[in-house]
Amino acid sequence: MRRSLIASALTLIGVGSATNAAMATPEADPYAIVLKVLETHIIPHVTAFKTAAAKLPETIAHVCERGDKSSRTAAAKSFREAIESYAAIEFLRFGPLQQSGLREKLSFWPDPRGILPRQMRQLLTSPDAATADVAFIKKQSAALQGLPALEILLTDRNTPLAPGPESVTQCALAKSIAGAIADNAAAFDTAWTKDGGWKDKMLRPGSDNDTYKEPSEAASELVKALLVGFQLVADVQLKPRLDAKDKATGPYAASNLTQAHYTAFVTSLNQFYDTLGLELYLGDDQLWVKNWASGAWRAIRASDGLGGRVADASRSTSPTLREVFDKTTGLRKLVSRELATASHLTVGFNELDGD
Amino acid sequence: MSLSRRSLMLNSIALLATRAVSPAFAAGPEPRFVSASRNADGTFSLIMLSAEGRILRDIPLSARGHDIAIHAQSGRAVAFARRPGDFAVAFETRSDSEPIVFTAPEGRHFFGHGAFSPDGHLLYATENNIAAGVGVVGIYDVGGGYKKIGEHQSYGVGPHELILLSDGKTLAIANGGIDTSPEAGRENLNLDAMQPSLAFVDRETGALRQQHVFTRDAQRLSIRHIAADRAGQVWFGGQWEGDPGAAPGLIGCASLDRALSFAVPDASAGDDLKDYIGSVAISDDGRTLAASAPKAGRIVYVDTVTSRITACSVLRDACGLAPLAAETFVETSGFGVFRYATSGLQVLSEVDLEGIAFDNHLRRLA
Repeated sequence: MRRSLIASALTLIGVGSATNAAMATPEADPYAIVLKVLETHIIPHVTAFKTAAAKLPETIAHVCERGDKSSRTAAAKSFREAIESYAAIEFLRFGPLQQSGLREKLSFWPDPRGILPRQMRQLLTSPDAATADVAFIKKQSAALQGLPALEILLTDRNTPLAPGPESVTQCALAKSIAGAIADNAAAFDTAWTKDGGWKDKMLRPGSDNDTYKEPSEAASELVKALLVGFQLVADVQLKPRLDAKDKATGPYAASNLTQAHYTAFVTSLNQFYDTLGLELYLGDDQLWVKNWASGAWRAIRASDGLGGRVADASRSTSPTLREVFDKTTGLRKLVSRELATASHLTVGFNELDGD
Repeated sequence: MSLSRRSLMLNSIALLATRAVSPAFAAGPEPRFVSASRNADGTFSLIMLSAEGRILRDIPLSARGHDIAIHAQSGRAVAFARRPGDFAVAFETRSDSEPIVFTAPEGRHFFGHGAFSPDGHLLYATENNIAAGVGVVGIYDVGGGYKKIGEHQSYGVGPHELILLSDGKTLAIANGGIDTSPEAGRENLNLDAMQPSLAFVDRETGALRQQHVFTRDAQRLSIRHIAADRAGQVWFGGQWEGDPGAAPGLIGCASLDRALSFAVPDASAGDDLKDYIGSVAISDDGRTLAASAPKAGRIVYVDTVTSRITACSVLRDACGLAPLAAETFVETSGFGVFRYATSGLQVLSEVDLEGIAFDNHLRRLA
């Protein structure tokens, strides 16, 4: 509304260059944006996570059967792939990830109160743990069902997963948790891709759709997911490590995968940003937005999330965590204020992050 | 709406919003409303507004604010940082004297809400005992420079809004049930084990007078915002953390002697509120509750006697609500709209404050 008023006023007073610029700038087609993001980003990443998670039960079972170096390497590899593929979809905090508490079940993190370690210690002493199966795990708390729970067992140096009586309980739990992760990842994929699933819901807005009445609502949901992604990077992953007093560790630190998690997360977020393509709708006088965003992404992706630089970074200097934090929050503001406005996919201040 | 009238309003308001506004206190109109806001340049403020929606005073904040506790008789007010912020700003609504900034003590943060004692000498604020992950009510000595002098239990996790009931003795506390910790940002840490409740606490002794909890099917409904009607019922607006669209209700009430119950939805009033109520307010005659749903861009109105949803209006990113008279509310949005509207769905007036995003809550000053 506001934009159209301004546009009308400019036309009336005959600002020719502004009119020409407006003609050159394409109008966003919300349906096309949603279709493109679903088909080229969301669904492939959701399915990739399902595929990666599906390998966990077998590789964990092999460690428990053999306990040799090769089976451990394979289990570590499959765990890393599961973490990386989960990181790539972690910011899609709407629809399927909200259903049945799936987010908490897949990855109960952050856990500043140490709920998972405490519950795991209790579970390991439970008489039922040695005969645990997937159904048993699915009756436990969300914390005990996901990737961080499996990480505890995979990185336990006192009682490593291996054949033999000492590891019976650990192996029973690890195999069951791996099975639960695979099941939940498959359920996540199904919730997106089945007939009438969330993909269809986003592609078929209308009066009979209980979530999206207009194509622009579905497209705005994607903009919201992008903004949530920035918030997760800045406030949950980086900010706790900026404060010297704070001893918070990153996700999956025990398996040395914090950096891999960060890299997979921001790589996917950057691809999501590019696929949304909101820069296409900027006016000629907003070139600075593209330039600023480009520099911000270079810094975010050059960082390893821990204060260092990734090997294949496109810049030669290591961005400090403070710089990455500032660039991430700046990018969030830029998307919210400039890019979303230019594409008519604005997200309300309270709608996005009320309390 | 006439385009020319709206454009004129928009221009004049935008002009006012960009100049220093505090001199308005010298001879201009009295402020009637206050809200936290995000400004055009991305900074955050408390803005005090005239009855017409003009910004009369702007108090800069270092970060996003949330609600404002008001002591009407003295004109004293305190704005709180948004969760998990730890600052509060005390200011006078009838003068432009220098605001006082104070903070929650080490190990605590604010949840964004508070209330004064009837005599205005004490301020009660919902806070988090961060280490323990339990809610407390901080007690501050207003005359002593807002020094913290005590604490009550909130009898739950994640207390959000608290209000003082008309008996002057009882605090109603919305325990949202969600555990958060500053080191985890605004992440919800215990959705699996949420236990929201509405607690009634003696403000002098801290004793629990009553506590209502939901049945198991509603345990993921975080009770966040509350308002009391004249019959002593406390109305709540909740935020659903369960499966999308599966909330058993979002709006309801309880009292000291009546358990939690939900308002009865009316299909024609539009019940799709996207699982989220941002604020609630009771009309001056106590008969109507307004509840804003910013994610759905709606405001629903509830008859507090019959407990029925009677109407639903549309306002994109609607959130702030303040009662004005019987059936009339002032409603604000994250897109800068400041409007007068009735529960009968009449919009009496509307102005658009260019660049201003009104935050969750709007409060009437007089």
